[in-house]
Amino acid sequence: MIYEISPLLAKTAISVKPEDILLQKGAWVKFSSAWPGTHKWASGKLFVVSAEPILVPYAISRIIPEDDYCDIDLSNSDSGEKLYPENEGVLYQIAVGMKPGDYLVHFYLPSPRYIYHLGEASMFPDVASSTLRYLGAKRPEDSPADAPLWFLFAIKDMPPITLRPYVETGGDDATQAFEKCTFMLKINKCLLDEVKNPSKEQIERAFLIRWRDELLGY
Amino acid sequence: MLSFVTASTSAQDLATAPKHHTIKPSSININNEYSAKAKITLQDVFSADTTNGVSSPTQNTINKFAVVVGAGLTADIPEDELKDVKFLGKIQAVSDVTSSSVTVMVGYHLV
Repeated sequence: MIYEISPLLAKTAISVKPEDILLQKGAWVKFSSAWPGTHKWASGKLFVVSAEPILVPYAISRIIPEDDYCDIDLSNSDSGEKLYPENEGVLYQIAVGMKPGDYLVHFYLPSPRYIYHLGEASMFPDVASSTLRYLGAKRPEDSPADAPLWFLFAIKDMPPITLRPYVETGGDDATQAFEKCTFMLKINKCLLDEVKNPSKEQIERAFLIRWRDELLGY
Repeated sequence: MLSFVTASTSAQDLATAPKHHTIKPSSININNEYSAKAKITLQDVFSADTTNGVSSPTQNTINKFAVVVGAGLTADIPEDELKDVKFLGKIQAVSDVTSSSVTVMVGYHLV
């Protein structure tokens, strides 16, 4: 459902193949069995990306006053950005890059259900808290606009992914009481074909997309 | 990119940031051949989005930069002194005089 490449990797000498960054034709993708019945076409099944994916750019910007935030719904709801697939058998891999600025971004699936928390019960993201607003928050340098490292996955009728940009108080410009938060997205549209009887190798090597609840509670 | 206006007490448009960009000025040149000093203010004009705290946002006009240039003088502000200045919307120049003898030239790029 989510994965992220640490910016630390940019400081190391590694060899990265295209398929390490974006799903390519022939890639194996497995949805865990925890996906609920509303997504039974995907739950517990293994698929192969059946055609060369199409990469669709998109951008979202919001101008926000300092010490304030807004919610951006990526789903196909009336108020959403409508970035989800409309059909079963389609997976959208959404690379989220952010332009520089004095803001941070929280992630909910859907709001107010957070993902980036810690095990202790009080350690969950909260923009209203002067300390917890930094817990689980992504910054533009975590996933730069020209080299995104943060990837989200969406299938038809999945709960709305909500991005919540929060503008810091007192940025790098003393007269700037506002910030423009710009998300540069690349949506990798993947057609999936189910692999009816996957081999052990396919099961072991497939990219596993876990359900929301599997990312919580530890 | 370069943009140029003459001084006016009414706001003059210099540039407008596209929706997904901000404007970073790289140079400002003000040439005052008028008979008196002139104050030039650069404003950032934009409308914010609806947020948790502001349900009906209105247009904002924020003064971002001001300089007074004596009669017969020129002010040149290099990029290094502008590195922390950016504009979210439209750049407008407004002055305390209206004269075609006072020119305002702004170099900028989109980020």
